[in-house]
Amino acid sequence: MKIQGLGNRAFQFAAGLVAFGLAACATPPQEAEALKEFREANDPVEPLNRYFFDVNNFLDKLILKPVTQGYLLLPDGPRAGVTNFLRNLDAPVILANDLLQGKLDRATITAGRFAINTTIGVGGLFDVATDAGIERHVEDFGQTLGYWGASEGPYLVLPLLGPAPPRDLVGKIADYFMDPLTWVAINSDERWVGPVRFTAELIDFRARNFDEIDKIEREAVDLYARVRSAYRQSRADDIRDGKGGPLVPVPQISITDEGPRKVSQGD
Amino acid sequence: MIRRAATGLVGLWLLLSAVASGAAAPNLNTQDPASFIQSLGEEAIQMLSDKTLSEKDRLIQFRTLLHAGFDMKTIGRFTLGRYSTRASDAEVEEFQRLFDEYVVQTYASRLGQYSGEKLQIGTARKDESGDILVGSEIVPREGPQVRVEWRVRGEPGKFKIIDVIVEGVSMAITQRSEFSAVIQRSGGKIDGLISELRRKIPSSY
Repeated sequence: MKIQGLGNRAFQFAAGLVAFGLAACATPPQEAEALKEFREANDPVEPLNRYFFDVNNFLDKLILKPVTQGYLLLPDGPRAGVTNFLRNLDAPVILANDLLQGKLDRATITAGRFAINTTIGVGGLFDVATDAGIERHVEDFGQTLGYWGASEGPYLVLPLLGPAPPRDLVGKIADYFMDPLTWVAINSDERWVGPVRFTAELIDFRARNFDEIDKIEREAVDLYARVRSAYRQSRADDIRDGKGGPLVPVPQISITDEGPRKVSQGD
Repeated sequence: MIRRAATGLVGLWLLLSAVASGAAAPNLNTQDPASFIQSLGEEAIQMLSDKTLSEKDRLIQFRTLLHAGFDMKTIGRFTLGRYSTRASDAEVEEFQRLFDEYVVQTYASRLGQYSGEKLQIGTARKDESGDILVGSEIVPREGPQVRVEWRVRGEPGKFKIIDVIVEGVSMAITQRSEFSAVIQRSGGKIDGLISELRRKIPSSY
């Protein structure tokens, strides 16, 4: 996800948020085990994050969801065209990040896909590359930072942008500025390009996951915590390019049979 | 707004609907974890594509296969995390019962959605804890495949799944962090989670 159309204001906004966030810190618990859990969650501004998460959900129900419902009245064909077109626009940034991670074979794939889909695929409306067996992958600068060892940092949720911990927030900003389309739009004074693209991406995403999002919202006992955990795991998986690896820091994954359970020791 | 996070969860219904069926007596007496997952998947697909089944029968079969293939006790205890040692036996038992029902009901709504997906078993690897991770792809009629890893524990003839990892997102870990958030909000008390689960189970009892 990019922050097209937010530009420099995003910087100021982020700086303001950090200041506000410090004032909205969760209080670390006293008890040792609870403190360990608090650190594992790595969500020091959780109350603020939950607030923005709720704001985003509210905006979703108020605007995005109804708009998407209207959009879904369109036949599959045109909607697939929108998805393909938006994805093709991402190719230059994906290519740059393939290269920044030194992955030449993946860079070749991205460049090839872009060339094929932009020409034979009529400006990206048709994903003929995938049909030809050249499958798409995604990279972004947040992943590049992660690939070179940067840690994610504390969890952060921003209005409109959703989950954006520092590494990924920096990544989004960098992606925005390394995107040729950003500069084309600025130089030709077509200011609408960024916001329109951002909005289209939101609607496209919402439409592709419409039923699934509804279900997850209905099922979750704590949607915020579910999304936080899934976001982190998903990003870690992206950084590994989906290759097997440690799922999460080891202490968290031991699923052991503890045998007969001791009665509560009380604490 | 929840973009990537949801991406990881999308296709989640596939994984359990891929096992969401079950013969009266599933033949899961297999010699290695990969063929265990393979036969579980075959059972699942066979039942899911049986359009003659009533909704009620399908739910019954789903429950049977879930219990044949998954170690729900271990999964439940894992999702409780450290809280399982500080709750009373009665509370943990009640939690296990509700967790089981929660999983069944959560996926029940997805059972009718099967549309020809295939389960393609990949390679298996051992992780440092000794569990076997069986790789697989869920292949839909069209569109991208979904990468699913099955964490299997046990010995030949007695394998059980203890976690399902969809596109790198572990269901057990995600569920645990969700449950522990609920427990923390209830002041570290497990009964907060118990009443929350009751609320989520439509036909509560």
